[in-house]
Amino acid sequence: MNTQPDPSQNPRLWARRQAYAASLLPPNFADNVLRAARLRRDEPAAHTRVWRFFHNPFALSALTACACLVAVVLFHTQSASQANEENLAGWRDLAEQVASLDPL
Amino acid sequence: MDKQKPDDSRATSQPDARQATEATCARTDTAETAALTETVRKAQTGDEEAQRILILSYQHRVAGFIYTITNRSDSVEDLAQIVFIKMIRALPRLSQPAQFEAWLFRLARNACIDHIRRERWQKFLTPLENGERVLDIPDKPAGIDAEELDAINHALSKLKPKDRALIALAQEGRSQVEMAEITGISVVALKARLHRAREQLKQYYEYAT
Repeated sequence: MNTQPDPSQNPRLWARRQAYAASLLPPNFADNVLRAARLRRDEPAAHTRVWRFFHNPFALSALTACACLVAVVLFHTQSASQANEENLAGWRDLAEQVASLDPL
Repeated sequence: MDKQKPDDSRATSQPDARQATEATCARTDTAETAALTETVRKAQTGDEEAQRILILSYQHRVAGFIYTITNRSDSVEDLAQIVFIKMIRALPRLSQPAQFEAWLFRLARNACIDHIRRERWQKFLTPLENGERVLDIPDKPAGIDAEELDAINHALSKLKPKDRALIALAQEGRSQVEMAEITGISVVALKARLHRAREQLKQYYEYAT
């Protein structure tokens, strides 16, 4: 038979946990919150957004990944077009040589 | 027969007294709700005194709620501050001031879940940083029923954050309909999930004691 009490039905235990959690807040907690809220309200919105963006590790990681991807695509495009131009020039030379050798 | 009479009168007067007490309680609740709604309305207009009253009224409950979800004492103050700042910023958008309490606990729950998720990602992205920090060992309140509190802390640490949030909401006395709204799931799913969370909590608690 299960004689263990259900902890979720033990109000004394939860009340003590809550009292402990409440003791973690400083006495001037409400003032601190209001001051912080006032400071945030007074900050320019654009500045806050930029600051938040650059202090968000996910956003920063995503930005870095995007920058890397763009760099890879740019490098690939450039090297591919360069290789194309070189190949075309080679074919052009070959075509000219063939044309000069053509007796007609 | 004569002896029966006083008993009868007591039997009829007891329900009357109970009804009167219930009516008084209901009147007090209604008055409290009206006062809270009025304070919320004032706070919505930017009245700092009303905002202070709301913070003072809910800070202890919110701290307990956060402590249950995160199961860590070092993040309670920071998270409580985040929750109340969010509350102040979002208050003007609250369309039903009477629903303030459920709305506040939804804010608190989402802030805690976001915090835990962010912490997990940070730990994943920077595994070498703060190598000695053991995040999942909760601190215990000093000097009170250490064994029981150790057991409940251990049991809570074994649950998923979303299940801890359900337990915390239930401990806050939220109705199942409110809890379903807060968590964004159906009442049926909520009942099942809450039951499962309670059973798991009980099992881990038994194991720890």
